[in-house]
Amino acid sequence: MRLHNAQMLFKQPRKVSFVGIKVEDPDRVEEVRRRIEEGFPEVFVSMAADFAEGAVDIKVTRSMTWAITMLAIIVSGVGMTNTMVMTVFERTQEIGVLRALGWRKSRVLGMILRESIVLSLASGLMGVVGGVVLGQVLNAMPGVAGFIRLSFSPVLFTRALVIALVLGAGGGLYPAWHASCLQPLEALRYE
Amino acid sequence: MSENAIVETRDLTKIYGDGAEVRALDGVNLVVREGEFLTVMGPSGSGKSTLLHLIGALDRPTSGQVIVQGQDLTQVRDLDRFRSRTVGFVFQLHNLIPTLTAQENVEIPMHEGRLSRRARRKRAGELLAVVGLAERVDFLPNQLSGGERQRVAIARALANEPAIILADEPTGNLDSVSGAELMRTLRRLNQTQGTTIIVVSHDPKVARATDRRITLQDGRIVDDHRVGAELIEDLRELAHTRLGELLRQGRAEDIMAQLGLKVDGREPLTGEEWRQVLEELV
Repeated sequence: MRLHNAQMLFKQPRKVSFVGIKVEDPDRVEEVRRRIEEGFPEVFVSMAADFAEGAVDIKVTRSMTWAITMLAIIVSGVGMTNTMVMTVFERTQEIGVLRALGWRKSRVLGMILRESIVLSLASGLMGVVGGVVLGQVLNAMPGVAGFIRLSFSPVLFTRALVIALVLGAGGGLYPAWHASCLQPLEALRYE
Repeated sequence: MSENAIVETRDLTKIYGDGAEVRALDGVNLVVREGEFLTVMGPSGSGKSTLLHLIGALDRPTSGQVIVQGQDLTQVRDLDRFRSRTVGFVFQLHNLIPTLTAQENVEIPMHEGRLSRRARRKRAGELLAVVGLAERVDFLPNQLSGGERQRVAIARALANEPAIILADEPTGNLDSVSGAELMRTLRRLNQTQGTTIIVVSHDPKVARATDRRITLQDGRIVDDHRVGAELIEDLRELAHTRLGELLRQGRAEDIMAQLGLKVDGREPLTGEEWRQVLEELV
């Protein structure tokens, strides 16, 4: 690919972000490095060996990112379950009334599960919008701009919403089951 | 099952607790006929709410039978379906869902049926009109008075055209005016639709608005009489105050017969009829 085309593709006209230098005499690599650093202090020079080590760091960073993501998902799931458990507790009398009026266990279970899914989908949507907005804001900040390269895609958004949906369904399952098992009379007497 | 009986209990017993047993009901035998409007009274802990809960299939007896519309509830597996189709509840605290309008609250029992959304909405509107709340269909519970909320609860209890309405202290949280209005609403439903209504209450005024009063004590029926007969007792009591010889001669029954008021039948004495009797006597 021509340099000009690459600059247009990455939206960095008249800029060069990386120059690879092949030194014919391997023994002179350090000397070449020193001369570039002296002549161009603003340029960061690294050896191929250093880069190889950096690639490992990139892998570690990527793994840590996934670990943090998984932790966030687990915490969200637990938070979802906790929210719905508290909701069921607060509405125990209400659930007792519904059962006394003839609602079956399955209808109560479906109601709580639907609420959980709607809540998590709404939260997922807010998270997606918030993430986009926050990314744009961070990218516009002087100290941060350039370090973050935003990349959005329908696949990414869909994945986020599916995860939210799964968390809602999974997190709401136990509270929904618990609500459906409440005995009408005990639930009516609950204070 | 007895003729025309809609509810029959046979040696109905309910015992709570494993250690110190509490006999909430102790061998209760009761027959309620179709279309009756009766009150179950008694002191606190006498078992009146327990009786209501067993008839309404909210609980199962320890022993004995509860037969409602020919079904022995101890043998019925799907009590949810039974409650949905046969019984309508009115609780002391109206127990309306606070985030739903009056109309939506009335629709709640209908969700288990096969009515379309439009049909449910229409029926809910009709039921609210029956209880005098046609103008309040879109009101939330916190926008209604206590009496109005209880009337919404009555409309909700009627949603699936139940055979029996069970009301547990329906006037317990209302002032006397609202309570009287509520009992008039129930009376009207009983007279126009023939719905069997069983009310649990400790208030004698509630009992006077019904046809029959059953008194429970320590889980047993200690009294069961028609309310008309109770008024005869009141008239006799009046004889001891100011009304004199006429009543002492036992002519209270004659006077009531002259006024065309039956005391053993199903026609109740309303407040207006009671006033007529007093005027005649005075």
